[in-house]
Amino acid sequence: MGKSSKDKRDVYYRLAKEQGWRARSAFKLLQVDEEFNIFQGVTRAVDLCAAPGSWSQVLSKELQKNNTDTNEPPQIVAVDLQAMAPLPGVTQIQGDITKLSTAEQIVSHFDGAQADLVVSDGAPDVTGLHDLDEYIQAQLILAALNITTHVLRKGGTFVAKIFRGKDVTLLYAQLKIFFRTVHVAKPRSSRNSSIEAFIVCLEYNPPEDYVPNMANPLMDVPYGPDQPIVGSNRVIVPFVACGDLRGFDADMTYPLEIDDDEPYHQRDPMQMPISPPYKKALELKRANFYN
Amino acid sequence: MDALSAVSAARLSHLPVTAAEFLTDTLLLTGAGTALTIYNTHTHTIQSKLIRALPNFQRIHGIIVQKRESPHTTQPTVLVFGSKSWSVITVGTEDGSAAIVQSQHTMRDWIKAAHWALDEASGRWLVALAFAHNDVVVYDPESGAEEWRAQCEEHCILYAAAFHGRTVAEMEVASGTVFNQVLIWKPQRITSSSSSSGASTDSPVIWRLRGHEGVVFGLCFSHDGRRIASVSDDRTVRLWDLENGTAVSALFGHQARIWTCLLLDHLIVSASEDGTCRVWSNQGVLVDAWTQAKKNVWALATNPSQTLVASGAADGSVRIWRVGEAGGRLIDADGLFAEPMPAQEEYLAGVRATEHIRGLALLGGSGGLLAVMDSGCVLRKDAGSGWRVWAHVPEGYAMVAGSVSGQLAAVGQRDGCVMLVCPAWGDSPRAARLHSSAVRHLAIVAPPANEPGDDLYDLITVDSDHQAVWSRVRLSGGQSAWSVVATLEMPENANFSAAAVSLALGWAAVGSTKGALYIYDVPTDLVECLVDEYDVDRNDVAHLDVAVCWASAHDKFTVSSLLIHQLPPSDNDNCDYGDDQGARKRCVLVTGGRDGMMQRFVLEIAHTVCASRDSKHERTGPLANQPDNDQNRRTAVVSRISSQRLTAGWVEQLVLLGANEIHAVTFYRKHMALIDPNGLKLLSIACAGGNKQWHLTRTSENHIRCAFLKKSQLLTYDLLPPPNHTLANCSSCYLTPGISSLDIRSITAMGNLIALGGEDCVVRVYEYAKSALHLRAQGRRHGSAIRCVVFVTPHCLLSAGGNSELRCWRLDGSSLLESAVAPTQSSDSLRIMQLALIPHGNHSEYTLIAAAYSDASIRLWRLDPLNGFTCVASDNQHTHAHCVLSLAVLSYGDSTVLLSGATDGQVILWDVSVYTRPTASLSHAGDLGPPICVLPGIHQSGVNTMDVKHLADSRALLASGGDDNSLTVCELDLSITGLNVDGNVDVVVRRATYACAHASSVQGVEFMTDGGVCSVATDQRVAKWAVSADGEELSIELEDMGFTQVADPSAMSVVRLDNVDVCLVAGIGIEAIDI
Repeated sequence: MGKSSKDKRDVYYRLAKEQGWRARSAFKLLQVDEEFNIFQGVTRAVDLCAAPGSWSQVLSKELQKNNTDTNEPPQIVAVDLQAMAPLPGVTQIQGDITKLSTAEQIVSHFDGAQADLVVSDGAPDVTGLHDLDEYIQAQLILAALNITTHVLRKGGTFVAKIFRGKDVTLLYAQLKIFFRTVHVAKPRSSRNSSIEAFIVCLEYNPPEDYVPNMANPLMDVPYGPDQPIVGSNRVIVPFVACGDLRGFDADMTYPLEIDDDEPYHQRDPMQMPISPPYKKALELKRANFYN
Repeated sequence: MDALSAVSAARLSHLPVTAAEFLTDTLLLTGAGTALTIYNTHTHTIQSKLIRALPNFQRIHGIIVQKRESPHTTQPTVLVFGSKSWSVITVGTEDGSAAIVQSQHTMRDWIKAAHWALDEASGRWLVALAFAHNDVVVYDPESGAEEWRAQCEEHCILYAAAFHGRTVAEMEVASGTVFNQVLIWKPQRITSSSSSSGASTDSPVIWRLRGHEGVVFGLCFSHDGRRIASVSDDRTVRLWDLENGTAVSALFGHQARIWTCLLLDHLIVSASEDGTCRVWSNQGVLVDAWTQAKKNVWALATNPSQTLVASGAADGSVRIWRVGEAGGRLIDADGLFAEPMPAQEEYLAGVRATEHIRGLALLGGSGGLLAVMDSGCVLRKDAGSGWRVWAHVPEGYAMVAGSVSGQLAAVGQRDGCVMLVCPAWGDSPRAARLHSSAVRHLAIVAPPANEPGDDLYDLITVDSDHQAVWSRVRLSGGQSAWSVVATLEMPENANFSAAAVSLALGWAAVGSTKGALYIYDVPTDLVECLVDEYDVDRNDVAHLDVAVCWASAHDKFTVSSLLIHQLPPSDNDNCDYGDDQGARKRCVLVTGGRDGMMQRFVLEIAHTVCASRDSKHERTGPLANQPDNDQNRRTAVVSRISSQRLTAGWVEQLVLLGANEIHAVTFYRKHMALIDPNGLKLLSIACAGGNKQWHLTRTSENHIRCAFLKKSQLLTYDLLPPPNHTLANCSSCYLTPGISSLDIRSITAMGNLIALGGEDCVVRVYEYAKSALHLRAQGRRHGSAIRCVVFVTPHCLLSAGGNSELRCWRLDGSSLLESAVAPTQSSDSLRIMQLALIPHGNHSEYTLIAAAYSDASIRLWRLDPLNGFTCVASDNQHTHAHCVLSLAVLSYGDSTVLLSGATDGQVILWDVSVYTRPTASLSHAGDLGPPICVLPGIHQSGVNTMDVKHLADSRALLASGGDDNSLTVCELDLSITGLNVDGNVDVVVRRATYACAHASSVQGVEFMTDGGVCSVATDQRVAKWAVSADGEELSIELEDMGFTQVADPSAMSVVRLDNVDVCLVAGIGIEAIDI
């Protein structure tokens, strides 16, 4: 496969490199905003599981635009277990989102105020066992939701990546306890065939007696009489496709020359992949250890 | 509402195997989806199957057998767990039949490990479960009531956990965390007093084992609990000493993530994403690699005596391995017998240089040997006697070849004579002059074992002038039973390396040292000439010319071995070949080469003279002595049907046993290996390289002998399996074969044939019988993922997918032969997303196919036997402007409408009637457009799937499923447009949308015979919808919803199996659900 092959196959991969985004997922957040205006009036935002940082880039750029009338610059906090390359206007916390100290650090960056928007594009490395992958992804979202209950203001917005697998209705049910409106959004920059979608939770409104508690992570809602495994009375949330139909199609094969004004040239990715866990095994393979 | 779910998975299911455990030394339990299967590993049969071992369709991730003190006092009790549930199951009797669920329990968190532990105080066996949040809860197995719980001090998510300890008091837990650590801790009961005291109730970590560079996926305690093995994302197996909490070793070797491992007394076995299990010694030396699937071996188990290991893979296969055979019967110098050669002076007068062995062959079944020495002495040794000088060859020049049966050996000499040695002939040598110059190569083509005509051997000899002579030897006959059949043309510069001939099948083949294949048509009327009457200068036998030449068939590497054998019987011989001649001529050529590959070719005669069809997988050539009249001219066609790598080294010999069973002898790193048809290594012998003298015989079904030269020594090895074992059942085998380890993207059925295509690029055709699939044929031509397979007839199949590949296959007996391939588009990233057949009146002549492309275009292809694929129309305007996902075809009256759906949610209707009419000129590509009309907003995003049903006149129903989770049904009236009317007219009379039909993208929609609609989505639900078109409004109502255990379902097809309507679902595995 040629080097330009991925460019041809994936137009958003190419656009991301051309427009300076660290990852193609930047377009997904932009398209979610096109539909839901999630950046409107937001001055304090948190990006969970931020690395490599494309969503922080989007927040930094879009919130800046947003607040030209006020003098106060937007405050953006990016949290990840891994270190990531610095971004102007973004405060980074290298920490674990399941720790209370991380929540306290976030709030301290906002000088005690709470966030208007929390986003999370985190996903585990999938194993291929769909039930396990969906569970781990749900745990990641519940951990994100848990820390969100500590840092998000009432009425705030929460956006996170989900896998639309067999138990997604249980996750919807859990989220609906904390937010007035829950939508599942599919940006056009996310491939049609992909299991990924985004949960857009508007108007944070926790139950009256709810006390945020990091020590007790939120457990999943199980299947039961209120949540039958099949049937029409399962909790279903409305689907919203995001992004302009006239825009690019993530599934379509485009010729390399998509823009008449600018001839195509091969670009390197903005951010090289981080060192994989199997780095040592790869090095040994290159050193001909196995033969 | 539970009707569908009640029978779900009952008819047919083939899912990844995610759990395995032995009940006894021979009974094996495996879990696939929610079903528990009990195998007898001795008879290789399924004893019984429990369809719903777990509630709520949860997948079995673990099986734990209760270790009982006295095995025969109570029924064996088994704990099965997976996801968030567990069951206690008793297996009725020791033979593994009648597994019965005693209790089922649903938890709130994911179960990572389970354990039976004896509560010594009460004498009860309790169940301990380790959950993903690093806590352990102990339950009463009967009531499921919680006894007590413990929480590890490290609060984090686990990917793996393991227990050790027979009693509750001894119980230890190992946790494999997302933060790359292994934690060893002892669960300490949280009591009401400890939790109210305010002090931490968490159990402390005893050992924190750091070293992995990725998350820990699997853990296994040693039997004594003193060691633990862990496997990880970082592709290592690590061993830890639990006496002092230190790392013992890190084992590198897997090529991808490792999922699970077993710690046996003397070995470590690990299973990986790379599709292999690897076997390591306790010292960390890689002993063997067992290849099972293309990807993901999920489960491992060993029996109590540790003689067997069972493994389960993503392709649904279950395989057993004999632990004793790890290393593939690795035979080193100790297992070999060094044949004592006679002292030189015993048989040779005078002083001369030290003698070396020039050539060797094994003779007969028991201990016979032939060795040709430098001096020209031919030494022979028969069973039970010593070496003796048997013959002399001039100038010490000899080329020696022996047959696999050991019944015949031949010695080629410098004077062009060939000497035959045959134990059946006793002591008398037979020699004949077949060449006028030195014999350079010899090949003996043995008849397949256990077949009639056992004693007929073909001998191909080639001299230094490139003359190739084919002679035949009948062992049971008298002196006259050796005759010359023909001479073979050897093209210039072709260095002979291997040959195969079959007079009965009418073909001969020669391979060269440059990787080329030469194929000869053998006439039926050859006149043989007795060798005694054969005159090398007169050439009074037929000379066969090369019919087909295939250069670089094995790249530039030597073709080392060839076999010609009959195609297995075919159901449809008469359909494709009217005359006997054609049918007689079809056979399979199997080739092995020093590129490590084994390939299969079909040789056949085509009656039509088409323009050269030569392609990557096909070569043709004219036959000799053709009649002038064009009508009867025939062509030899050689098509490659498979190609597989057997070794990183050389394939040196192919051995045919029975009609179809091909074993291969390979050489790699000075090891000879014998590989069986399943790719299993039967033995591996440390020897010299494959280019040195060696000979392997299989004189009876179970007796393998081999001899080779190593450092001037003649070494032999006898493999005699233990009594009452055949070679087959003392080696490892599949209990259930696999289907595909990667996603299946398309499923289609015709009669009882089911065809699959997907990410692994293989087209597979199965026969459905008795709730199981039996592989009929497979084709490996696609270079990129297959997205669509469609039957044209029961003997003809289309497949399409990535790289814009579109192929037509002929199902012929157990072969899938490519009969045509469409020219591909320039862009290698262009994908064909869907195919649809367009019905027309001229089916016997050609097939009309619509194809949807990822560049927003649609093309119509015409397929006929003579010209293959021709593009007859395409949508040059790319009207969709988005990737086209789905197609449907509606025929009524003499009109035919093609419907296409794209990622933007639009459906476009095209009039394709003109292409179906007999008068249609289908010679060149026309323009498909303009469309009849565009239906915008049928879905918010991609129209993944469509089906159309004709109602009456020009009215029809269109059902579609979208990526937006919705199901839409539209009533169309095409009379409104009058067809071919330019401009956009809305043909949708009524429309109904069920917005949240599923919780995730709808992947398949099809009308059922009762008028309802069946749908399947990635939320793994299968739904039946009633569509009512009678009233004012069109309405959709949910009738029934069931669950499919196929994860990521991407294709669905409603078919009839066993005379009932079933919904075939394909994704990661396949399932047939009654609807």
